Amino acid sequence: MKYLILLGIMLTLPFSASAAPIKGKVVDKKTQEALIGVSIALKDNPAVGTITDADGNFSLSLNEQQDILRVTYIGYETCEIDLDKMNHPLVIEMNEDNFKLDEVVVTGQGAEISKRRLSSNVSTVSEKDLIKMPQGRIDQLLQNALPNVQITLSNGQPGTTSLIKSRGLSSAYSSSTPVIYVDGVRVDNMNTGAALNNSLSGNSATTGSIGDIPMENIERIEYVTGGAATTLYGSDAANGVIQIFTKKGGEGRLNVSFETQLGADVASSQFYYFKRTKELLHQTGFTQKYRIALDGGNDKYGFSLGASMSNNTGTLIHNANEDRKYDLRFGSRLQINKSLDYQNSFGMVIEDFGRSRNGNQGGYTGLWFTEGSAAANFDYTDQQGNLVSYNPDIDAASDYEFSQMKAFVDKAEALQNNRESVRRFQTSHSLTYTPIKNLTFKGTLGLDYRLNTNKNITTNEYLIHTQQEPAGTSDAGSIRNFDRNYLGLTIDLNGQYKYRYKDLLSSITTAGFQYFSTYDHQSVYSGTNVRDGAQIMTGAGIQSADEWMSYLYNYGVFVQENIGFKDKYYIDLGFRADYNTAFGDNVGWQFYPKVGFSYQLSDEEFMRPAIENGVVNSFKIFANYGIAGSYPPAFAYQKTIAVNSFLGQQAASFGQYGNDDLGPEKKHSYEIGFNTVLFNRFLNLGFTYYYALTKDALFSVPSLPSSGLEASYLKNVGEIENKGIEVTASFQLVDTKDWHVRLNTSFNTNHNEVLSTGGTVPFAIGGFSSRTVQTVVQEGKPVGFIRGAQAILNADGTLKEVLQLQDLGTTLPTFYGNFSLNVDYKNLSFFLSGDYQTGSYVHSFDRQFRFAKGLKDASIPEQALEGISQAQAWLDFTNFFVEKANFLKIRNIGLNYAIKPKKFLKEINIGFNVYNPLSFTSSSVDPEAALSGARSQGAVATGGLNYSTYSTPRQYVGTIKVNF
Amino acid sequence: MKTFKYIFLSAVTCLSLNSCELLQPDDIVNPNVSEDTFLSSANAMQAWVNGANRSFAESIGSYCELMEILSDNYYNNYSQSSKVFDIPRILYTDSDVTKLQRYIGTMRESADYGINTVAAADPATTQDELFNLYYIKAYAYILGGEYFLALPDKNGGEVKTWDEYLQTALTVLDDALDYAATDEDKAFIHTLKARAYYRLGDRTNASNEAQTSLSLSPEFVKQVQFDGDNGVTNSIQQATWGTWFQPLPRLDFLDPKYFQITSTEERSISIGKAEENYLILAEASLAGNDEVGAKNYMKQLLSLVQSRPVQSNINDQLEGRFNGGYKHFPNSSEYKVAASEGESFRLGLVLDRQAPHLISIPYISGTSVTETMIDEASGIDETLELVYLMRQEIFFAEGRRVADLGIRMPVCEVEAANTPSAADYLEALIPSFIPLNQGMDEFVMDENAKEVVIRYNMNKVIVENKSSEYVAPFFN
Repeated sequence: MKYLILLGIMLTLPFSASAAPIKGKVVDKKTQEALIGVSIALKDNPAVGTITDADGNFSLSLNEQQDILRVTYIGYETCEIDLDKMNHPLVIEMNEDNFKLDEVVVTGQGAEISKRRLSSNVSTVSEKDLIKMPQGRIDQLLQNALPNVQITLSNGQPGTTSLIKSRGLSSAYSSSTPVIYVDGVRVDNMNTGAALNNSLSGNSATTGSIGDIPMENIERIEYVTGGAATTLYGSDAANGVIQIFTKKGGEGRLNVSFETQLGADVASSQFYYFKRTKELLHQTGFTQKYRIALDGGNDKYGFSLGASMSNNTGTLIHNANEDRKYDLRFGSRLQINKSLDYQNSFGMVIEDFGRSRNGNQGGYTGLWFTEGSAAANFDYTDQQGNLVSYNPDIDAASDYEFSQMKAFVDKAEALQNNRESVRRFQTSHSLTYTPIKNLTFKGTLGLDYRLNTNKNITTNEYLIHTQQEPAGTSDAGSIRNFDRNYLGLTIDLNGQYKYRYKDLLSSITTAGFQYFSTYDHQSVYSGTNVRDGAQIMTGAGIQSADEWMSYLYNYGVFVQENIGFKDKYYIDLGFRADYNTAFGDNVGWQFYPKVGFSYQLSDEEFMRPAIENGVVNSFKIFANYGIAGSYPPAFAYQKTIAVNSFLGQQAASFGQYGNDDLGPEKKHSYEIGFNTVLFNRFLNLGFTYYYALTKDALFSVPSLPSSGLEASYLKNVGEIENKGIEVTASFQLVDTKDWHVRLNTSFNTNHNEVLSTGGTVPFAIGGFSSRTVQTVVQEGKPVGFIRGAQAILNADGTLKEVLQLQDLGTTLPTFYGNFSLNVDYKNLSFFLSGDYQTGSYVHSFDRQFRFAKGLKDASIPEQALEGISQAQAWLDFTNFFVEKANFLKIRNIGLNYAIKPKKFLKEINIGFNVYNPLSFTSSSVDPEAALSGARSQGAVATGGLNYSTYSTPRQYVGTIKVNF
Repeated sequence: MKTFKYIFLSAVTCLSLNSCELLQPDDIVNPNVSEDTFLSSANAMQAWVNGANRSFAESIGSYCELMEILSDNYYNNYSQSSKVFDIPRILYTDSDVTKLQRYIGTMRESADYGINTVAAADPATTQDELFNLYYIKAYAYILGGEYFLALPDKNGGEVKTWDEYLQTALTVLDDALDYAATDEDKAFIHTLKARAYYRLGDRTNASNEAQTSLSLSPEFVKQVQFDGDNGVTNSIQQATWGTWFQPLPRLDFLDPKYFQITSTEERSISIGKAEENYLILAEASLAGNDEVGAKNYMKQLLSLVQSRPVQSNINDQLEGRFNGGYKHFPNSSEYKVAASEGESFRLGLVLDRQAPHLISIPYISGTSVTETMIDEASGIDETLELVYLMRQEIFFAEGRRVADLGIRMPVCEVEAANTPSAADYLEALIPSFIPLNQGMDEFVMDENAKEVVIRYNMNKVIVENKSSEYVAPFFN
């Protein structure tokens, strides 16, 4: 990697030759190790400069000795050296830039630019950070790595969706998941169930596309929040952008490493009401993962390969959640000639996993049977030979009853056969052309292909066993297949011109064109009346099929101008024009402007005393305004006639409502903040105040029943406000040669409010019916608040009244953040990370079901139920089942020891991680394990409703990695 | 040389710009059928009518499901489907209220679109197809007139009251008669007219229409069909055969009216049958103080009911009468049932369903009323109660009971937000004599004595309140 940097710098820095060369060496201040490829140039005339060689040495010929040198190096703080004041030979000591203030970033900028110049935040996760979090999924990995983003996994089953939110919800229609790019190529980021499926979901275990993004060979991840920072993505990025950069080559000689991970998965019983639930449903899972990585290269070319295979039996009995995954990525670079550079990457995932029924799938589901007391819905033969139903209080069941129950559940789980698989392929190719100094053109082309298939086999035996079909049934067995084919194509062309006039003026102009298309084809083909034992639907008594298709093109052109004065005042101007084929006929090109400034206050002369005594090391102020959009689903604007099959003939009826004015929702965002490093690099404090107003918000508006048309249609009518602050604080507690202790924390607030619904009556975006519990959008309330019946009691505990359709609490946390602690002592490192939230609520349907089935609930006094049974009253007491969803969760505790043998081997790493070790919650249920809530593909989800959903298990993983 | 290089490069650039054509949005074409394409293709009417029948059937299934739990007929013992209609609690914000109104809108708008737009575009349109659309449209008005207080009768229009709805139904039914080809079809339309007049309290016209219908066909049955192979399911079948709903113990012998002999079978639901005419004539006679005449109609009705088919050997062994887990219901033929406290116990109303028993169900009409019971009924009120019991049993699981109980639904929230004329109709009509808190479904079961006493005999309640404006329309 360092050679690559060396090469890059060599290309851009012409050597200046004159008399009296000065010689010197650049070293890391802490370790005194030589630094390779450090750029050294005259402050007043950057054209005069050089870079350090493999031993950290440099030589520079200067005309006069009174100059000031500017020394820059990636990952280190830029320093200025007054040659007059230095001893010779020069030894320049550089401080590692723990806070990466001058890092070069790409995302949201069109092309590379230094963070210093930017008027908005870019979060980055380096390879070093990634190593500490070797989770298998991108969202899990980023859970505690992005300070201002909240990521929760809504289900413990493999492949399921997550909730990714930053700055609340800017849409009441679209999923809050950011757009994801891998090496400049937009990938499938569906984080909801698919349009046609999902019979396996039970509304809570829907399969999204996030869980299977190839994870090998990642070098760096960048994240920008939706708003001014994503204006250049136009109609696509109101929720922000995650960009993954992969490795393209190593450091010279061939590097090979092998890694083995072995571990145990244990289901947490913390959130189970019944002691016996875990015994009935869970096993200890076994995880194994094997990885190989090799890379190498020189200044002309490089390559890097990462591959892994893993198997996890899962924590459900009969290995119902077994998950097998093969993950591979290859990347390479090639310098074709002096001005032409080519890079590529190829990623591939093959994953197969199983699913158990959960959520509100009806019939039998394991957690509903146990935690939801649906055991009472099922019969068994008691010791007297009578057919009786199970005790809804499964802990109170007699030993005999429990043995029957256990046998029943065991067989019901064993007879389920729900398999899902993913085949995914991604590739990115980019060509960089640098015809003249400071002018770069880059073209990127790539695709993401994902094939997801489900097979759900329901046998007669299962239906008979779970008491859904009478004994002797042989024609009710079914096989349901689902395929989803996704192809996303991205073409991106951009040019960047850098201009600099002495120290006074610098300018970076970027312009480009971006095209992407998404193609999503889904089909369901099912057979009913299938004989038990069949694995395919051939020969089924009844065969049926359905198909769904969505595709769109998006075109955008953008230009961005970043102007710097005296390297401390920067103005950031950007503009994108966008057209998307999902826009209605009356909607043309859309325009997204942005403007921002950043001011490096610490570079002012008057700050020098504070800088010199180390109180302030760096201080930057920034502010911006920008618009980012979110386009509607393909074809939603068109009015259609629906054609179905009925009694052997075509059956036509009113189809999609249509809306010619359908356009993107637009998030107008303002930010102001600062980023500072204080107290001799002890503290990095970032502060941002944000205000975002989504105009023309897409609402799925209920149509008038008297129209007789589709129940709802999309319309740009709403206004949603989000405001709050984001604070990140990183403490470099200890930083010595042997010790390195770092604490990263973040604190974020969010106030979310639907300012206008454009006259639309309140409508649900998740949950069940209006009589039970829903997440709802209503003017003056946060998006997706919990709505249900509220029982109000008198002082003596008797029931005063029941109010329907009440606001029982928001599902959006008002305060949240995450933290991580790194302690490194020589070769031993300790890592801990976690996150927390307060201010939101969660409803426990399982608890309410138990109450409905007659179990006492401590929160509801006996007097409240006078004259009425729990079975009658249960829906009136919904407010008693809504709990505060505050939590603090420790996600990862890791310990790693690196051994560096003198011979043969380069390094041996031994690690041990515990994932999800601790959860402190104010609710009796897992506030994260929630119904995904998304009612359709790509729709918004808020969580907040817990219903027979498995939590993410605790994992103990030991790792040994050998580097050759 | 340099100039040549630039010219060459420019030419190559210009030529390659042509490649943009490959990225143009022209090939983005909606995979679904647009309105214009549909209308201009052949046999549009055939597909449209079939589509209208499909959604009509689904609507009727849904009406039956929800209206049955709103009445005393069924109790929802499961977590799916409405848990509040049993109370009954009918809020104008309830999504089921909205859904039921949308069905009416869809029936009417689909019929009108077919009659006006598709018929104009498709020269192959037949009389039969128009008949079909007209009766769907008329049925929309009947549903609106029987179950709601008021509703708009055009897209976004002002509300019309339930009696206006029924008057419109009568007009549309007359239109339908113009296209009715067979006596059965005509008998069906006259029965619907009799139903509309009955609900309006017009004894003369109701009796005339009922007589006309019987003269055309004394045993017709008009049903909506489903298609389990194509996922067009009968939702009340799912709720009753699926054992979510439990019947009032005195109606156990009629449940489930919709059952499966094969796993994808979806049974048809009757929307009109000759029995209704006898019931109307009997009630009209009683309203005219003609007890003998009424009994005569009731006996004719009894013989019609007895001639209706019965499906035997139905395996309903999954029904334990506690399915759903909230409330226990009687589950053996040993149980005797009293219609309310103080009334005599009757045997034979509860069936044995557990293995090895198979059951027999009359799937068009069934009744527990016997000729003796008719003979023994004395006076107008006792006979009227028996008429209502027969109405309850004969229309069981057909969603009709709610109208007999005088319960009416309000205008839903979405519609109300659009028209100020809905302001007076935002609260459901639940007559004061309707017991609340699930009272209609309540009973006391003595498992040792094998006795069940139902809390309220709603047929008696109807008769006791026959002079109220809400029930027994001929007696107002």
